[in-house]
Amino acid sequence: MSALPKRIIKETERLVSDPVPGIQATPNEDNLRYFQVKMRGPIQSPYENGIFKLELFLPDEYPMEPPKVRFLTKIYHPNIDRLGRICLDVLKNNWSPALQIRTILLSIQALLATPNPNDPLANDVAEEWIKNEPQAIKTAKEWTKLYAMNEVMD
Amino acid sequence: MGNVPGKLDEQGINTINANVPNANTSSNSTHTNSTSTNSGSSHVRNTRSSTISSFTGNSTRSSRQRRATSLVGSFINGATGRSRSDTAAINKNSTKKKNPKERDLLKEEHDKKLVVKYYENVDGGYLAPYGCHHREKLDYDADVVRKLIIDRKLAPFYIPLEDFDTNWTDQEIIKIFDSLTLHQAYIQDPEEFDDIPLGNDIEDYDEIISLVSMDQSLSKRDQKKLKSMIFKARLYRRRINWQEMENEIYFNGKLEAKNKNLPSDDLKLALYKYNGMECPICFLYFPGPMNISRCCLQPICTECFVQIKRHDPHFSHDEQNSEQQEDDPHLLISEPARCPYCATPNFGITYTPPIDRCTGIHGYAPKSYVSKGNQQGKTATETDAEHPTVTSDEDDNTSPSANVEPPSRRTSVSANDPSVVTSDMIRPDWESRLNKARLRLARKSANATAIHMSNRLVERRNINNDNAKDLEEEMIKHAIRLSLSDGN
Ligand SMILES: [Zn+2]
Ligand SMILES: [Zn+2]
Repeated sequence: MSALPKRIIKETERLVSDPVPGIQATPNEDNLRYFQVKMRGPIQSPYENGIFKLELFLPDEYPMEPPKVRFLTKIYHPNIDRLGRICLDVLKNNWSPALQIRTILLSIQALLATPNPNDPLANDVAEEWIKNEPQAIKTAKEWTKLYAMNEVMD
Repeated sequence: MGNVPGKLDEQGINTINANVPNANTSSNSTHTNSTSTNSGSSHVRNTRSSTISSFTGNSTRSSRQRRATSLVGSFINGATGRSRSDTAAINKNSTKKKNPKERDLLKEEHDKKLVVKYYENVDGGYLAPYGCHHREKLDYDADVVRKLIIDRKLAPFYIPLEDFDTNWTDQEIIKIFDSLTLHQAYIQDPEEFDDIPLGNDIEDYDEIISLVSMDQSLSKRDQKKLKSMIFKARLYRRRINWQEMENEIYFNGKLEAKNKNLPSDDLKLALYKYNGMECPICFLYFPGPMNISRCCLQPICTECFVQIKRHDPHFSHDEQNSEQQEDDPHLLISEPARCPYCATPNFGITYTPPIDRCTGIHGYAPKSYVSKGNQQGKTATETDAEHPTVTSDEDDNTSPSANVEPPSRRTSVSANDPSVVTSDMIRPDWESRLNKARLRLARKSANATAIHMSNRLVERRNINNDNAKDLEEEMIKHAIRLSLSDGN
């Protein structure tokens, strides 16, 4: 376990003192590189009214390497697979060390509002999204009701 | 240790210069390459042609032919059961592979250059990183970076502060400075080296290694892995020792009242009180002036700048889907690093050194630094008077304010501008890394094809001799194609 870089300390402080609306990131007491995240589904998206749990981990190389983020709550989305892994360019090749936990979480929230079935991670979901969008949106809403209504924001 | 600092100006510089005989030439060539590789298909073609030259070194055509014939030979021999060792021999010839000992020595040399030494200072900073980031990515060319810092083309590595409070008194700032260490504390036993047999002395390294080689319970591959971990862990431990030795030299230096290589109190204040700012990437507080991104004029500390590099060679996104193309070494690409702030390709910075603070190497002694306000009684002893490039403190008839900031750039500059230091310049080996990755892939698919074809040959031989001949011809053709495509 390496010493916690100042950047992580400062980011965490700022996340707590000036939280992003609709997003809550709480560091784990035993491991300050590990965050539990709750994210409100964007309004007018199939995820509206849902509260989704995610986990976020800052690797040793952070911020030179992106954080690792995963959905814990089941979600029906073409860019999120069954294991909760997220297909988002800024989490991979387009990561920049000038981005932060805050901006990454906002990007993920934006991804919920604008699914992109042409660059899928969950192929079956993407297929459904392209073939029959109204049905896909209906399923996404159902999943939100089924799996994302048990949490509250603190 | 009183004479260590004095030695530096002659010795330190000479070794630095000797190590980078033509840093300018090499960086120029990097420029031309990287600018021409910016877009799409021309990118692939360009890097292809450079692939040839690095495969062969001198005469392109003859060695390409040699390669072709020997590859054919190995394919044919493969059918009679001698293929693998022959191919291995050829591969050895075609890339001048460094032997493991040489490679280890190079790594050791590199790590030695990452040790911060207080008497190697420039304008109040140093030539080696403080260690804000994970050590994995310090694989930049240390000679190039050291030279850029000495030439004042890149900000030196300063010791950062975690925070800065404008309410601090001068005395407080000086006290904080005096408590700083040259390098961030090392973790003594990193997790990754748990359970690695280390041995005690440098001498018993060979012994441990030979024990690993004899361990029958380990596969050859596991042995290799373990050996490299042992090397890594031991090197890490030695690095800690090297830095600790330098810390001690620094500490002893501080005990000498007249040590010229330690900063005056005025210099400490000039660094942290008047010129400091927070780096937007590591959030640490550094003395200015900072490096400025060439594209969007954002500040970046040198510690962060040396971390930014190309991704490892990968397949371009569009072609990733087709499996066949995954075999084609020429589709492996490596794009220049992008600006972390605005994503402009070919990241680079410019740096304007401080006007009134030219201390250390190619400057005057840090001890003799006196801020403008205090300059009446100043007796700056020039340690390096014969260097005309030194922007010295002659023009002290200007404003009485403590510090004069150099004029800063207002517009972006191109990556080719001579004032720009690009990410590629400090990692000039990016191209050979790419070529190596391509060669590895080419070898892998060549081996796969050879095995596949010799299997077919053995099968067919039992049935029909004509067919076998056809197949042999097919193999030769394939081998020629393969080796030609290696070089084209
Ligand atoms: Zn920085
Ligand atoms: Zn930029």
